Amino acid sequence: MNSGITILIVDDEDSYTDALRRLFGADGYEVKLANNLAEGLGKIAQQVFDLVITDLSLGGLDILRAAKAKKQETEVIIITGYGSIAQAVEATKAGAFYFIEKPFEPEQIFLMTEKALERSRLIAESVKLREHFTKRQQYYDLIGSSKAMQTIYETIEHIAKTDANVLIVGDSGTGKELIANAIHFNSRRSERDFVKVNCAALPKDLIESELFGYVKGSFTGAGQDRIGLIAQADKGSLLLDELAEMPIDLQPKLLRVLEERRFRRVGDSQSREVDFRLICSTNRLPHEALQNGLLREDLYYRISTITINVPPLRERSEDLQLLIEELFRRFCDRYERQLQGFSQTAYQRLFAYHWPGNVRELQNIIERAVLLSKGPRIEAQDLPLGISHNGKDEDPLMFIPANMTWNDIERAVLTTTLERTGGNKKAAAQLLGMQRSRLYNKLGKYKIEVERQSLRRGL
Amino acid sequence: MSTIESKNPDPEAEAVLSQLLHDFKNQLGGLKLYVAFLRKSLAENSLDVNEGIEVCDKMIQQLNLMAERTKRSARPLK
Repeated sequence: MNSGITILIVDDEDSYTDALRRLFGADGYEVKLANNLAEGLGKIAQQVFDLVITDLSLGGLDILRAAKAKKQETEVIIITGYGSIAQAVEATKAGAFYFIEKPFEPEQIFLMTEKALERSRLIAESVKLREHFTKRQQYYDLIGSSKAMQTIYETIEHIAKTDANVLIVGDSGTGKELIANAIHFNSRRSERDFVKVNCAALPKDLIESELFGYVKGSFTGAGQDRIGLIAQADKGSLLLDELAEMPIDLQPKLLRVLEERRFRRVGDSQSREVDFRLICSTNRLPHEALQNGLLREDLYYRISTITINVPPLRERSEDLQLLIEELFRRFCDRYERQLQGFSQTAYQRLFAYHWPGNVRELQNIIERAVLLSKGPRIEAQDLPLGISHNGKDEDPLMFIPANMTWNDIERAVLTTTLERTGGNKKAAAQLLGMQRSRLYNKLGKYKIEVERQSLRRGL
Repeated sequence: MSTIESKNPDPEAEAVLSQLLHDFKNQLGGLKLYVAFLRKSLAENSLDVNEGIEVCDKMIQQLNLMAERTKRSARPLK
């Protein structure tokens, strides 16, 4: 009924505390009693309460402050004696939910309790939502608040607890491995091994023995038994990175393991049971890999129960601001550099670039700039040549039709820049080299309604 | 001189009476909470007999306390 909700009553009148304990206890609340200030403070130090009901004359203000310091969402009802209304008002100003003068009718205290707990619940919920929102800008090591990233976070949460096979598709540097990490560390297998195999990095003739293991003498050089990577992933997760690079003739063997949950080491006559969750990733488009004969169809259908498509950075430019700021902060911390940020030109260059190497490239460039910057800010010259110069990566000059007015041009520039920053006005003002207040004036002037990023970010 | 003062010319007695009345109301508040508990438990058919007896004992103690306090505050009228 109300299990898990904790109430502390601090009062020296036994009849009140005892009767309230019984009444609230009958409703399923967990009730603790204290007869004086010291006992009350001790109870608060030991435990977090959802509601505290305290007599003002017993140091109710101290109880109030201690309870709020322990947990801001804790509500406090002050019970006052005769003639202490002025103090009770003071308590309310200090954050008490309400005060009740003794003697009170039972209904009064029930009603107040109900209302206070309702408020406490609502506040706790809003704190949770706030935390959730903050988390959504960074989910495990993934950074991004765009709609595409929100969908990815939601998918991870939906599927992580299951054992469904997952295929992650995306260009190099988009963060496929980070997604795989988020799935594993969010799953019930998180305490066990997460074995990662880059199929492109292993020599083709070694990949089978590396994956499945081998018995001594099974081939030249097999001097002793060896446990394979699949066996290492038992009870945990296995990431097959760049799966389309796995030799086609080995793929049926992997399929058999997935179907039978058993594998056989190279040169072994016995098969062994294995239980792992498979996550695969590829930077090739699956239908192209199938068409080109790099991936077997039966294996593809087996591994792609859930497919996560990771967009390239250029398709989620609204995340650029967040990524730049977060990576800048991380590298400044790591290298203990006290930089103030980016110059406007450097910032414009970062936004204008099309990021073929995706987040990995952005990460490398910011790390390099943080390390090499000589001034208080990162300047355009601290960025690599391709980014720091107006070259082919820069947007072409705007085409202005003859009948376009100055107002039309200004409106177009504002709209385009806001689209580029995902509705982030601070970033837009920075890119346009104007004060934020001036940007607001312009938006008002042209009646441009900005889709707020917080709405886009969703929850 | 106001009408009230003329009715009760002893301010000390008035203060004692006022305090006593306040104590009474306080104790009554506790009793009302016990009654609320009994009423609720009986209505929900959840009252444990032993607990019911315990609560009745507490209420009697409470009434006793009220009587004691009244007795202590009482003094011969002038």
